[in-house]
Amino acid sequence: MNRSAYSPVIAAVILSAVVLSVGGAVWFFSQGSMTITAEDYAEEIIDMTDTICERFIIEHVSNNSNGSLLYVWVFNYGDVDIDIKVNVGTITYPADSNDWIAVASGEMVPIDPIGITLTKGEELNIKTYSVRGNNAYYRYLVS
Amino acid sequence: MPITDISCRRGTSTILGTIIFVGIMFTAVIPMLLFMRQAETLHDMSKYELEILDYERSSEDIYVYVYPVGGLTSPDLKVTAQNKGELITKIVRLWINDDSYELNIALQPMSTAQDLGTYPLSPTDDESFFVIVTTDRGSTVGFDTQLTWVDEYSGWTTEEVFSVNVLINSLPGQEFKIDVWGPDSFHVEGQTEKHDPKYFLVPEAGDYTVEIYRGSNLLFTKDLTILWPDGPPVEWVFA
Repeated sequence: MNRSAYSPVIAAVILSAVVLSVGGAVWFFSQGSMTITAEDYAEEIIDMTDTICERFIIEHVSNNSNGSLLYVWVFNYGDVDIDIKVNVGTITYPADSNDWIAVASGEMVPIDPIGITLTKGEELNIKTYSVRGNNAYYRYLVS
Repeated sequence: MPITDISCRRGTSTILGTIIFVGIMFTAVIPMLLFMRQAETLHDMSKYELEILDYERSSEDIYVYVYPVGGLTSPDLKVTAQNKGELITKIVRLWINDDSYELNIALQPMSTAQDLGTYPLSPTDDESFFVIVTTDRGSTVGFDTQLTWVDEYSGWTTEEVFSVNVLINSLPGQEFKIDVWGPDSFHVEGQTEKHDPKYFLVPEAGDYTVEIYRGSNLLFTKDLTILWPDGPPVEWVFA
């Protein structure tokens, strides 16, 4: 005579219900977690791709006749828009750490005149760097 | 009497758990991996495209020529450019000193010099002019010679005297002798190697003949004319 407290059918149903509910919870959690992980990873890869896609040069440099202003033109020939600063010696333009100059893809932008003391015949190393960490250099002889 | 009846244990929960596990693998883990792999593929494609762009940029080979239009005392400058590279190159900008002019001219490869336009200037006495062009791949190329406006009576002069420049890329061999013959029994010779440009200063505009030898064998002859001021003061010979 079978004297177990619960019928086997009810036991199976309860067990299945527990497995399904726990499994379902794990399923939904893992889906959400995997989605977030994949999106974060893809975003990092896209940022890395944008970084390597940057291509820009200092196209032209000039100074005014009394050697107090430096003019710089930057050309973005890459496929992504860039944000840049210009560095000449100890001077960085724009000076504000949160201020960057935007240059759209395919665009050539004249930078605002940079106030600096120049000597005729002096050789300058002008550096442009982007917010993503890429650099371009130009060697200029002051005229 | 057993406490549990073995015949009632059918492994239902085990099967359900396995199904749930497989479901998680195919609906969460594998799509995530595929998505990540797709992002990596896009990154690799971009990297490959940029390697090609960098290679194309380095292989651009443009020569710029500048001369006055309408005589030595005309302040207007004509600019032409020649593409000796293998790729079509688009000129997007021209600089005359600090003034820029937007262009959109495609130079066909291995072609003759193409017109980039005539630019009226207002030069002051003893003002010098540099001409530079920019390509869409970010290369900048300048005219070899600086032009100086003396005054309205003398017109233009060049920083250097006239020049015949020779570049050997295609002839068989490595070392060559070059002879340049010109008006008034002018003659100059020099040695060069392949892919190494050689510059010969010549005294005046006129007709010149360039002969290229390997040893005693004459490999190449070209007749050219420096047309200054109706043409640039510099002529290139490519062999």
